[in-house]
Amino acid sequence: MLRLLGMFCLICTCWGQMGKPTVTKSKDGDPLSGTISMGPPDLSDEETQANYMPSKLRCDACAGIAARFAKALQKEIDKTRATRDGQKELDEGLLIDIFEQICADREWSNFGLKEVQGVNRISYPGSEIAEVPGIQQGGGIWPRRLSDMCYGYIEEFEEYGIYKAHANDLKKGLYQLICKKDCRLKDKKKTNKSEL
Amino acid sequence: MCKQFWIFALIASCLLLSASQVRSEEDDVASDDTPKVEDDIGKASEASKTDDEVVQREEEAIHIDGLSPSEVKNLREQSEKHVFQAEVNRMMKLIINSLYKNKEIFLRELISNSSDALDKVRIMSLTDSSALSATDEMSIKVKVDKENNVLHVTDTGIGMTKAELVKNLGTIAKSGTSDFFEQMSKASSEDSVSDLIGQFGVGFYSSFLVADKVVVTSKHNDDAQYIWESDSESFSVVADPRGDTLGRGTTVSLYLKEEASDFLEHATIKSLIEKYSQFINFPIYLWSEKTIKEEVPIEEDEAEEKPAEEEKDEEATDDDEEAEVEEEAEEDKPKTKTVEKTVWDWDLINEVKPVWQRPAKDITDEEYNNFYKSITKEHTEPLAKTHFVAEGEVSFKSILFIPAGAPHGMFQDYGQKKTDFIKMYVRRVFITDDFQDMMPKYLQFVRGVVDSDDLPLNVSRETLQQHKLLKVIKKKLVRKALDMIKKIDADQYVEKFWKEFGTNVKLGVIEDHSNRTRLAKLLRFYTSNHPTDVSSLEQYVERMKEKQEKIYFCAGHGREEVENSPFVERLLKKGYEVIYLTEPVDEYTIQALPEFDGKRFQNVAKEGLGLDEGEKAKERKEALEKEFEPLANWLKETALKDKIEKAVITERLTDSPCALVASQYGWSGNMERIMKAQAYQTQKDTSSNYYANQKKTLEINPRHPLIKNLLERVEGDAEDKQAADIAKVMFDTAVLRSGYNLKDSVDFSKRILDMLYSNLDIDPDTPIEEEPVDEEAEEEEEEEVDADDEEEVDDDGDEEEGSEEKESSEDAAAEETEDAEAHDEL
Repeated sequence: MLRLLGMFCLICTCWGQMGKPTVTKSKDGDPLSGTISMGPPDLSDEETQANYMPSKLRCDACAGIAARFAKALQKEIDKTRATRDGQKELDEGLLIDIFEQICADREWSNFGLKEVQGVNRISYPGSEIAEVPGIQQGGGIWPRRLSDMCYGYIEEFEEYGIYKAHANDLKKGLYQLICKKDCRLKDKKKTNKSEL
Repeated sequence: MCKQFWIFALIASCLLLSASQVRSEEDDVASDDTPKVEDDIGKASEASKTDDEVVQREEEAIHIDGLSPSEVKNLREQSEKHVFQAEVNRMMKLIINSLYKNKEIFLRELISNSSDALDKVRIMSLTDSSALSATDEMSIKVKVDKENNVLHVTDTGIGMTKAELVKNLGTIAKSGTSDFFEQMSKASSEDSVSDLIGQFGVGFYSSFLVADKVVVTSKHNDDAQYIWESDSESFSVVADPRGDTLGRGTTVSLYLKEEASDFLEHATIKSLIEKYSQFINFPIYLWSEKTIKEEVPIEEDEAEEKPAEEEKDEEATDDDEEAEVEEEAEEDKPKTKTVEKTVWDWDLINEVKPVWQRPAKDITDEEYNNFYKSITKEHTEPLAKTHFVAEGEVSFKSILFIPAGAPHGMFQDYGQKKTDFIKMYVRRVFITDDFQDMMPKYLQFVRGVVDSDDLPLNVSRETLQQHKLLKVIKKKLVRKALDMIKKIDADQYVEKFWKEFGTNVKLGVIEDHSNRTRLAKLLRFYTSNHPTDVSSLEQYVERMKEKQEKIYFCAGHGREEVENSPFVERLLKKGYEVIYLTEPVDEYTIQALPEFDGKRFQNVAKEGLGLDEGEKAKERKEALEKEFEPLANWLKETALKDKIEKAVITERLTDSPCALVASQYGWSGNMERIMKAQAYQTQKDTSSNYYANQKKTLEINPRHPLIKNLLERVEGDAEDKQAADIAKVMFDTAVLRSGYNLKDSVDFSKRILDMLYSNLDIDPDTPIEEEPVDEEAEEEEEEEVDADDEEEVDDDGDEEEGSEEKESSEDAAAEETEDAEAHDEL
């Protein structure tokens, strides 16, 4: 409950285009100068206070978590030639550690909410949204929501399942597996069949 | 004359002689009748008589191998005398009194202690190779000495130093004593008492159930061999004059009481070992008689001279089973004969292969139950079990059990006392049962064993704790334990498991993020669907109405409170099922669950009920909103200014005029009450103040006559004072009915009293009658030093008796307030 009250951390990523920017031209008429002002994203009660990740944001959040998983797994896979070549699998104990470390993260730094073209999105390192300039809101309730989702995926797919999905398809395998429901992804096999 | 004299003298002497003869005969007769006092009268053979031989006889009874009675006597004189700690005496009496019908458990306790001692030396040997230098043997040997009435239990365990003998067999840990006595006094049956002594490590003292005297000989690697001896009154310890005869380990010798002679029977002891100690992981040997056949060469002369006799012998042997020698008479074969010999040897009684190593299909339920009892020292059968082999990076075998009842004080020590009931083995070597987080807190009641081949043997417990493989084991154990719980038969689950461990599951939902969905399926709550049965969330979802999107729940003190809560009125009327959360932990648990089966949870005391979704209902509601807009605005801006966030038309009330609804993410009345009751709570807590001061929404029931009346009044005159008062009182009742605390109870009670005045047509300014002053009392008061105090008491008493003076109204109001608060707290 205390986390609900946690101070919201506002991170200004950069200046430029943003969710709802107001651009004021310079009084002296210089086209190269002026001010841009922007505010934090406009949040609903649910987005501010609910103890769960609002449905509209789940797909973004899932993609962010998948990206974190993939990055951490790849880092371990790249450590030895045997694991890189697929001759040896990562140890179960190591896998448990990797996922536990991510899910137990109390910061989830650089994850947060950003308003992009009037729509609230979850921004995370490496996402397209992270490139869009704007004010990002992180901290507060967000780490708990992300952690809960993270643990939820571990429970549903288990560490080894997630690892194998990544090992089989380094680019999208993990995302396809865990975000299928949240991002309403089409079944890969069905898509293939229809393509055929 | 002279001749006559001689004749007379002769006759006289004859008479004298005969008289003396008669006297001596009389003396003889008399001496037969007189009681004799014999010199050695005390040296009677009966033990019941007290005499100077008693001590000697006892000394002789204590026959210590290799020591003569006189040596034993010397030994006694040299020994250090100790008295038992008072608690030990008390405990021994308690054990003896409670277990006199169940004496046989002494053997189980001694073997169990031996097994622990062997475990200890084996663990030690993992890091210290010299630990086993005295002997490699790891066994428990039981020997019955019928001749001397002694039963010996010997192990090659860790042994005890002199200091340990005094400490372990003379005191009990202070920390555990009060708990032990408390539980002993509560123990309802002999079975539970016998469980307790094992759990508290005081099983050794049960030896005195069957023995007058107990002699413990022990050799620890770090000390010489010592003899501890006790008659249950006091004990003595002395260095063993025989030196080191054990090598390492302990022998407990019980000098059995006469009535315990049954324990000298080989068959009795054998069946007891089989009954109680079959799952001990060390070989248990019993000194037994055996008949073996042996080929021995026949001496030439014997073979040739007496062939006929041999045949006769052979026939005789066939007939007589007790005959010891059997000779074969086949002349052509090499000249040997088979001899039947009676020998004494150590006979292995238990199957040493651990039960978890055997295939599950070969193990009967009874064996599992007996195994459970042997590792837990419980007498009840387990509620559920799972026996599995985990494979993968780490392979291990495990048997887990759920006990029939929760351990004593499970929640008193929750999260503080780290107890684990999982015994950890590595390659069948017991490592520890004190890993502390083999199981998460909420599953600490699970018992069992884990045996892995993949963990290193020669590491300390501390380093093993950090071992990565252990994490894998832990994870798998938790999942298997949850699986086992899930598979408990539905009736048993509710009847037994949920009653004992329901709170554990609820705490699990809060604490164990990575098993939340699994745990959510194990939850059971009361719902409006059934007056006494609990439901799972799955069952609730199955029964949900067609367009119902949320799982409704109402939290409060008890079923009656939530059932009659204004918040559930309309939901129940419309046929929605509501989950009743009646325990303080329930609302926390639900808050930790973001959703179940894709359905979000909705506290009916909060905004966002989501009813009346149909078009017509929407229209109806809009019309009502428009109609009651003046009242809603008046409430928010005038009558209840600063008290409510807004007033809206209700979607949940049927019978109540109004209710106070928390915002979707605020605290319900129940939560506010729980949070304020936390031990750590302070007045300055910003978090709780934030929630407690959040303004709530007042929902009004447009169909209720009070609300309708109020609307009429407000529409007629927005400044109507009575309307404002009614609105305030209604708000106060809504606060109470919605489960919140009244902030200004003085104001509240004043308003209620004003209403009473008004209803009874009493002028609020009517003065309250003065109390008549008793003159005598006044005089006495002046005399007494503490008269002031008494006066106050008297005044209060009088005021309570219904004086109508206005001054007293505040006091009375305060009292009513207290009542209201007390009621609220209840």
